Amino acid sequence: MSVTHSTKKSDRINRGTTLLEIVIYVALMAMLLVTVSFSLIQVSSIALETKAFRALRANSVVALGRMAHEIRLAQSTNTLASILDVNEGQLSINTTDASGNSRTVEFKVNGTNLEYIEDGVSKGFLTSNDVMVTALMFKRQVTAKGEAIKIELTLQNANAKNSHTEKFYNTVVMRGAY
Amino acid sequence: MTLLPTYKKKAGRSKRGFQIIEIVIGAAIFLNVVLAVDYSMNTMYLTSRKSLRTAQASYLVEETTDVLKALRDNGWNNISALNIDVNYYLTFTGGAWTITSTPTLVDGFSRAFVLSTVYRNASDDIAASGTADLGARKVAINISWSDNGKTYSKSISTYIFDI
Repeated sequence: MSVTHSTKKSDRINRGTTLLEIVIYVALMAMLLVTVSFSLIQVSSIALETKAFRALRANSVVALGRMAHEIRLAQSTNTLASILDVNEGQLSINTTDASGNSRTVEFKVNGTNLEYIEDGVSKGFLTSNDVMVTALMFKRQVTAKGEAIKIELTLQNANAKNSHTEKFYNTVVMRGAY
Repeated sequence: MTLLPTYKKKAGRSKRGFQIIEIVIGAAIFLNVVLAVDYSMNTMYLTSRKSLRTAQASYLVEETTDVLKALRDNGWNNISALNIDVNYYLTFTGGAWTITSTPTLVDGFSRAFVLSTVYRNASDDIAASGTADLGARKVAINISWSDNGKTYSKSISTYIFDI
């Protein structure tokens, strides 16, 4: 009698799942998978875009910062060696080093990078391979006491899938001319 | 005879699987985690974009101060003739910067500046009141932009002198 009773209990426990339960489980799992998939795609896309914004900002800080610093210290523009008012522009300025010795500094686009040249010798790029320089223009305004250079720099992040193009502007007065 | 029911009982309990409520709770927790990750990633995205816009606005602030200095270099009258406490804007036309009273946009950034009188006290220091310094102006520069339905701005105040 005890065996029969145990068998009945066992049958009840192992009766498995009903079709309705399976349908609900599968539907829930499908919803979860779809949600997770979309979320993963979005997270991946956001991560790439965030990286692109960071790269654009970091490169603009270095590129514009260096150009502004050098122009601020400069005395004059070497207009013959510069390409002004057009893209891709080139700027050559007459300046001095820390000891007061004359030197020339040039900024120009080389490939998709912004190149920094001192006394005719390339000192490397001011932009990384994370971004591309898609436009660079210099405009010169002569004032009664010197000159000012307007910089227009356009950077695009190198990842074509999440392409962002941003423009950066600055105008710097040459203090060395005072 | 006595072992068999015990064995079957244990096996039966351990193989009964998940109940619907367990599945629902598990799914809810999992979804919450996914949504939290999603939200934090979105916040990170907006923060990095704001950081980029702030950098662009900073360059425009820097540009404004230097443009005013360039215009000052062409003649103090370019600055002193402007009205006090009135919004002015900058425009680059014909290879030169000019000051205008018409609002201008620079790639979605709005730029304005306001001049105010500089006063000096008896010690010739800049003060809130005193004698007006005709060879100086206080400049408040404001760059504002909209992003994701919000308006942000970056402002600085500086002085410009007739040198």
